[in-house]
Amino acid sequence: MQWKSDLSEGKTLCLACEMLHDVSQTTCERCGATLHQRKPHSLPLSWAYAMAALLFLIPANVLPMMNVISMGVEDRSTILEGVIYFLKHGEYGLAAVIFIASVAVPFFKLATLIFLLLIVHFQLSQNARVGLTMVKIIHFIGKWSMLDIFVVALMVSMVQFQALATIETGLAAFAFCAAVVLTIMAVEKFDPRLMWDITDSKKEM
Amino acid sequence: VGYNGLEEGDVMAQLAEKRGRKTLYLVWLIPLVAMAIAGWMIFKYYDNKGYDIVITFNDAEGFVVGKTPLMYNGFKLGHITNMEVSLHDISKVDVTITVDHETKAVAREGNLFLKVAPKLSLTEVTGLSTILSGAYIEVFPAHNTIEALQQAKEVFHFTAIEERPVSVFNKGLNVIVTSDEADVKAGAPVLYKQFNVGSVAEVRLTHQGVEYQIHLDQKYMHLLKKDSKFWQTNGFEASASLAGVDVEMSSLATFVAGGISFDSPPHSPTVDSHNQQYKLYKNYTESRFGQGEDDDTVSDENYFEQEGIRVVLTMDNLGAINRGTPLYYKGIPAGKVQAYQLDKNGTQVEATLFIMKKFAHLVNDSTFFYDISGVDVQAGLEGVEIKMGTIEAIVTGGIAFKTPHEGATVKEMHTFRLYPDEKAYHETFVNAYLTLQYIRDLKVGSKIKLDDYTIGHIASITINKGKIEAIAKINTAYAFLLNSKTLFWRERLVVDVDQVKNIETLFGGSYLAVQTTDGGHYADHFNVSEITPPKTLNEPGLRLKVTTDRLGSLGVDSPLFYRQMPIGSIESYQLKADGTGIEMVVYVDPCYAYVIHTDSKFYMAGAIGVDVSLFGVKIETETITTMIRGGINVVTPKGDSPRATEMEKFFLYNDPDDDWLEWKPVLPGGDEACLQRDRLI
Repeated sequence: MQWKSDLSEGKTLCLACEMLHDVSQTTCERCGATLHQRKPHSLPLSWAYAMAALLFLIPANVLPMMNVISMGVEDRSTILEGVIYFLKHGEYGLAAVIFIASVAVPFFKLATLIFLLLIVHFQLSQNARVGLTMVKIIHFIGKWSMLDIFVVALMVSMVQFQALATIETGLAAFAFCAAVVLTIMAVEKFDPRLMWDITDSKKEM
Repeated sequence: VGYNGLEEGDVMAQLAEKRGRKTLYLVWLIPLVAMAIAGWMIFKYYDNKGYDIVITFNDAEGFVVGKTPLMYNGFKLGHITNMEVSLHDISKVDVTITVDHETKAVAREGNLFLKVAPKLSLTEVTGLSTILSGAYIEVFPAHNTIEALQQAKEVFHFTAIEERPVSVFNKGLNVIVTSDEADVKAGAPVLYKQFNVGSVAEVRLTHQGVEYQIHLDQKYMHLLKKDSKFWQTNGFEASASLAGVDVEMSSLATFVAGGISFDSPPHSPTVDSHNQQYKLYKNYTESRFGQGEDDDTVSDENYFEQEGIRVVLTMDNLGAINRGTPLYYKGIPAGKVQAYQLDKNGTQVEATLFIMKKFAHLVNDSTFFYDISGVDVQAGLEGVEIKMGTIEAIVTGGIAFKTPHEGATVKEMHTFRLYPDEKAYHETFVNAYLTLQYIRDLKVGSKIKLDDYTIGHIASITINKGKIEAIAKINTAYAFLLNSKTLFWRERLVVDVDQVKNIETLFGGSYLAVQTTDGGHYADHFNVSEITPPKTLNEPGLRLKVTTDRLGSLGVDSPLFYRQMPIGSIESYQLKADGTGIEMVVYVDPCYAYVIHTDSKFYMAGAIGVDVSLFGVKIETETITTMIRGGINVVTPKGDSPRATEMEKFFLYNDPDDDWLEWKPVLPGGDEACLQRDRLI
């Protein structure tokens, strides 16, 4: 064993209040939270949420995000079409923001998570350190992952001129929402400590 | 506790592990559900996205990929998803339209596609909504039921049409009207009785001229008959007539783009096949009578409206008769004048009169037509009678007809004479040629009366070498007046102390009176006397010659009294040839002739007898009339002397002897029947 860990020392950390307990204790003495040495079923749940999020990302990007009905003419656009629209019109900043918030971030986040899961799954212990950095990153960018939904929600509530122009949310918005929420849940369920466990176990072998 | 706790914990962990394994399988439901939902979303989207059709357009100006919609009746059915230059013809554009999946019947054979862009033309402003929203593509289905459309053959490639089709669903009727010139523009209205029933769909140039494709709305299809006539309508038509200036203006559209009107005979078969050919006439008249007809030949618009017969009326003068002049039967409109024209010789006017079917049976060969135009004022002592037809008849003239008795049915275009009035029919005339001294207020149309009954009128007055000559039309029934013994004289208004005579002349001017007696020979030239002959002229009776020194207030028609009862009158008087007195012819009613005997005495009536005595002044007078107008009294002493004979001579005394008034002879020979004549009861 390279390092001492909670596993080796028979300790459990309360994730709610960060009090260290003996492994035999099931509830936190201080805050009353249920104690687990590792998040229960972390891997399968995380996998399941990640897969679900990934599946929802497909309609989110393929289906139209917004229906702009202007003068009775409906204009549906997917996220990427919106980005392309802004790029064509020289609004690179806007295109970048939308692209990053709506395409890059969700995909990156999910991809990273899947990468982490794969590390644990296939016990790729040499990548564990990189994975730690990635965990930090996805926690940081996770805050911005709903940006696109905010944009759509804002547009829908603001642009309601009925006959002149109306904006409706497209199906993609719901799929996108689902994808984002599922990604958050997947990240939440993922226990990064699993990565240390595999490095340790590798070393043991 | 710790140990136990550890053991307990292990057990708990193991239990949790078991429960966990169970939930572990359930965890995989999450991606499964996600897959299902996401898959369903994508499936639904693409399922809803529909299918692609390709339409070839001449130009794709205003089309935007991903945006330009395919519309039907304001519904969006799809939108353009791709555009590219046509492979077969680079001047054209192939436009791919993704049609919404619910709309199944767009890709069907026969459907028409039109690019709708803002269009501003003289006759229409269309597609205004597209100014803001951009052009769109409109689809016109080939059938009007979904079933029929579904059954139609599926086609995915179309060529767009250039002009808006007049019919959606191919409703209505398409007719071809040929013309020489393209005066009417596409889109111009087609009118039936000024009612817009369709429009000109297309104007085509053919090697014979111009061909108009006309579309009639479905609900007006029945108006088109096999023998319908089409003519060109201009928006503006002005005509001046008695009633004023009539400016007719059709719709602005007709004014600008022209229009085509048609009407149909009622019993012609209806047309239900497309592309029936018709000729377009320049105007309404032409449509009735063909080209090249004189413009005087005008016809009535109602020609086709009703069934009926047509007859020809001849007249000397058109007068107030005009195209459209109504025909009345007992005051009910029964037809109209359709047309008029001069006859071949140019002496008569021939008018074509249309009689409605329900009145046609009332016309037979005994029917006579007469003019009821204008106002007819009949003024007489009993009042003024103003006969007038309807206002329409006054203004536009009017014709009435009467059928006195049964007769043979007349054929179409039977010729009748138009009489100036109803009386004229009953009257045929013989001419009398009159010579007058003065015209005064005599005029053409002045009446000729026999005993207050109109028997004719003056037809013409001419002044020929200082002589005034008039032609009098005298009713054939009075042809016996053409006799050398006939007298014509002028009757004028006479206002006298005791009478106002011929007051009707105030209105109608003076008239000529006529009197005749038997025994003359035929003559038709007469002198018109300015002096009114005595009423008793030519009356049977006793005539006496009475001479007097002075005429006094006597005159023609001064009465002869017996016991203050009029029994006769002075017929004429003249100065004796030697100038010693006045000789009068006194007429005695034959009924009273028996009172005149050879010894009868005549004296002047009307003298006022003033008897001045101790007891006062006694004034004796005759009647007021005799006092003013004078008169003659006759007295007879005894009945034993012989009765006076014709032209017996008497002397007229100024005053009676006193005893004359006492004479009360018993006279034989009075005819009771005759004497009762003047009694009222």
